Amino acid sequence: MSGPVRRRPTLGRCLVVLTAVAAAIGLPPARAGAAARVLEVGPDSAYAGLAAALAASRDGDRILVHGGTHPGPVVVEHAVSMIGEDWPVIDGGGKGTVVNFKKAGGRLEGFVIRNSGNLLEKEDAGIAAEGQVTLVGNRLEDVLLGIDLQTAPESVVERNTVVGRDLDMARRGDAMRLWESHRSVVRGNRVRRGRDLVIWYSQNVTVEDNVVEDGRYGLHFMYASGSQVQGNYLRRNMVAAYAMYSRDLVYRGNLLQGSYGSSGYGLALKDSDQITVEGNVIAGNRVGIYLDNSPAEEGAVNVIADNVVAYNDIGAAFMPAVKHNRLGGNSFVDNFQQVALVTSGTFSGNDWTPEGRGNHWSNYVGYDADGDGVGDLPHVERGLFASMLETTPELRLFALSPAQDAMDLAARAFPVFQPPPTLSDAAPQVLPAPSPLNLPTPARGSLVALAAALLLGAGLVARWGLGLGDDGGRQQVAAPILPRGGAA
Amino acid sequence: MIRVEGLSVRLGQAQVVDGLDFAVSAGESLALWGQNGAGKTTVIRALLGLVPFSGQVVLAGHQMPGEGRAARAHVGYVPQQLAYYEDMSALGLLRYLAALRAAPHGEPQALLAQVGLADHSAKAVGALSGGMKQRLALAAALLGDPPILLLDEPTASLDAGARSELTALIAGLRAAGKTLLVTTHRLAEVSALADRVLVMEGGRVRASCGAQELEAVLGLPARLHLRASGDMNQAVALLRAEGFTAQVNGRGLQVEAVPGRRAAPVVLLLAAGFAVDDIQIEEGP
Amino acid sequence: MTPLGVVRLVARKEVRDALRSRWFQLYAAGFAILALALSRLSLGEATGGGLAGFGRTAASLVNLVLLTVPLMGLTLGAGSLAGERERGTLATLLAQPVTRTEVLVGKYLGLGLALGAALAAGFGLAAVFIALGGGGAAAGAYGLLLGLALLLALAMLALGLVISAAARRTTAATGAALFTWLGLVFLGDLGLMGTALTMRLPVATLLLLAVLNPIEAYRIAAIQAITGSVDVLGPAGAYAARTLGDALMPALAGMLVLWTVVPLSVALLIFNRRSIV
Repeated sequence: MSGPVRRRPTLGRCLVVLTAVAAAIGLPPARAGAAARVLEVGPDSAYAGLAAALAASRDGDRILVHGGTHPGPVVVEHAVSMIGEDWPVIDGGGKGTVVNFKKAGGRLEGFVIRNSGNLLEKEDAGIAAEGQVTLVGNRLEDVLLGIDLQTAPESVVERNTVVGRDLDMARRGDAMRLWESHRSVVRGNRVRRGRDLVIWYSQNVTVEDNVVEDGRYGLHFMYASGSQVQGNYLRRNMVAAYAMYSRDLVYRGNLLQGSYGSSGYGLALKDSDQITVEGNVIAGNRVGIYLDNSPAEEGAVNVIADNVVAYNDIGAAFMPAVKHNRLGGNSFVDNFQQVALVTSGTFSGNDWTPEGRGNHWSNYVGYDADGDGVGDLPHVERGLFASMLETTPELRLFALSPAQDAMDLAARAFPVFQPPPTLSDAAPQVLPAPSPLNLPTPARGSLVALAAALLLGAGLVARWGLGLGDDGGRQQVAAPILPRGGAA
Repeated sequence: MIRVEGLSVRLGQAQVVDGLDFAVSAGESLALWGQNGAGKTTVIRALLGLVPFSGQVVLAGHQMPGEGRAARAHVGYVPQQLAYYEDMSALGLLRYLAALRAAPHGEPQALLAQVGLADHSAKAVGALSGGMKQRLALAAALLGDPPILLLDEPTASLDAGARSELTALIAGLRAAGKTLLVTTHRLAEVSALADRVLVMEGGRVRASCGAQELEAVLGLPARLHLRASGDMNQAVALLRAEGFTAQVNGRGLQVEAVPGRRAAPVVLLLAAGFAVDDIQIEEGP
Repeated sequence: MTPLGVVRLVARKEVRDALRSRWFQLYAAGFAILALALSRLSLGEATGGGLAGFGRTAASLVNLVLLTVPLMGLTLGAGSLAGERERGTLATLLAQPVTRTEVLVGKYLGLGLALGAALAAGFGLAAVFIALGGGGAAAGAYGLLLGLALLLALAMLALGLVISAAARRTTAATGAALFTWLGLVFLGDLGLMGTALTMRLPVATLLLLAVLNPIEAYRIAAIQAITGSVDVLGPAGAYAARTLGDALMPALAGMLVLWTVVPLSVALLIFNRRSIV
């Protein structure tokens, strides 16, 4: 079965075209009112192949597929449920989109979807849908785009696995894309090696408990609002979570870790308002939190509270003139640079002690004499090296060098060199907040083994060296060299 | 065994050894005698390749410094200032050096016994007395049974007892057929240590002779001061008659001594019935 | 005895002497204690499993290595020949049937081995602590970090041996070693920072000038080893990553090897020519 691949217009024109398509498929079903049936596909069933069953199907039918490999691309013209047992495979044969839902109300569950086309301009995907769809527990392998929802509101994408092609980032497709798919739920999926998981023009989407790794944007909101983002693990992407031109998003209890590269943000907000970022762990990124003109609107406020921001190259980096963010109860732990201003300025337009509640700073040098858990001196961020970085970012090359430490030490000793503070937290927390996430302890068997090997090696070297001059237990009498009379 | 031609050593601005020629044949013992600073130690160091030199040095058929590794395998060395790893035990040190010299296993213990240090083998080198150290150095030099021994002031800094012990050990080595090159500044030791002697001064050889002839060759003046009883004028006449230059000096006699025959005046006087109560030797002109 | 046998024996002697020397014991114990303290401190700040501190512990270890390993390598190397010459034992050793090259190489390897054992012990103890404290670390990255530290130690030892071969007295050698340490660890970087600030050096020039310093080469390689990238180094890091890509680590390691081979050759040249007394 090789149905014609529908040509997609460029993204810029999608909106117009898709609205028209949506209107077309929104027509009442041709065979409305007929009773729902179950069509079975399998070697001993009524239908030998999925194509035959689909051709015979009507809206509301259930197609039960028992294993087997079924050629794609598959175009689903009716609102049918396709349920796979024993992992039936739909193989796109390297052309076009593997499964294409043309009508709202479809369902796909328990399938392996593989081998889509490889043309980005045609947006060759594993699964594409042009109306509401339910995708549960499928495995998408070797696909260019993963799941592509175009105007598919109230869709459910649950417990799917998407593994993208091993291509350069520029030639990869989005692992998941939701376009004007309001109130959809994306939950419990595992996504690896895709480009983005991106949500365009969609309101009130729920994104929960997904794991997105090794992609470009782990979770990207564009012109989106009202979404709940909770319990996701976004690891080793170039950017973990990025919101642009969006508002009313809530990020809660996510792990944003290991973002790398020239952006390398854990959480980034650009022109986004009324964003709540609470109880996330933002660790090991190039930049933990990156704010660019957010909030953008008059009167808008972003709340960034109770997060652990740890082990990033830069804990929080603000573009100039970023104001009206409220940061309290966060733990800034051992970031190479706790906070940084891109170019210059201060952080003063932001509230680092909202309602009297400051943050924990692992580099806090004050004390807590009264033992109330709040440092008695304000925490200030400043440093000669950091201030030099603002004008000469090339100097970052010397980060972590003894020379840098020496310079900052000297500046502290001779305050005349000390630049003014960029940030002041009036009520610093002495102790870090406990991790909001219960992350598994990493395997450490190999580390213990390495440690044992190192100690053993050191011991052996010591034994070898100190054993010099020992007889080693061998005794042997040599012939005398001196003549008898010569010995005293 | 040892052949040296035109050996010259410059250390900094100083010409320490200047065109030295000598040879030592197998089984022979040659002493380098001279005052401190004459260049004796530098000759030994040059032979071992420790200091850069010009000229020809051949040890046991191996050209220095190019074949230094092979040459040094035939050479045992006792340095003037004993510098051994003081924190090692005597036995441990010998074992280390024995390994470097590929000496037979067990030789260190045998040698320690032979130089009389068997009871001190576990002692740290630094804790040994000067005489013990010197004997240990000799044992170290004998590891691997080298045919050539270079002994740099082997008896310096030893008391009389230790010196005679060591001299006996060295005499044993000569008897065993080793080729020896010994430096010393003690005139009296030369004949005990060597067959032949080179007199060094300012980096050059001033004289070369048999060890027994050294004092005569040097012609070193010395005066004997004798206190004797009897007619001193008669004694002077007796001595003069035998060819000595003598004169009465206060209550005693002063006799110009002949190198190698210092005791002769005394023997003469005793034979003539004079009682010689005391004798004092004044060296130098 | 074969040349290799001599090298082995002299190396063994050097390991023995190092292990028995007060300075070395002080260095080794200090390194181990600091490594332990740093891993303890980093873990103390840990906020939740899974994150607990390898990155930071490793960064602290890098800092420790940057300061102490060059100091250890330079001073141990500088004291090696000069000390034995001053005590006179070098002449005793060279009067044996050995070549100076064998002795120098043996001493170098022995000191390298001793220093390597000290580093391994420090890293090993810290690793035990990290593991006990619930921290995680990729054993591979940790091992790589140690390997790089060892390369740095070997380079600094070689440089120390140049000083030792050329110096007249131990005190002069130690002084020169300390000055070299100061120059490599602090003055070079500070000078380069000043130059970058005033002359606005192109990023490529800055990077090149920096990695000519073996300590810088180590630091950048170590950061690559810990974080998997050199992003933290800003524009220069990005430039390095873009131009060299996967060759960055081999290039930096190669720089360290170069800093080992060249000084060692120079040391051999000097040592083979000069008088021992």
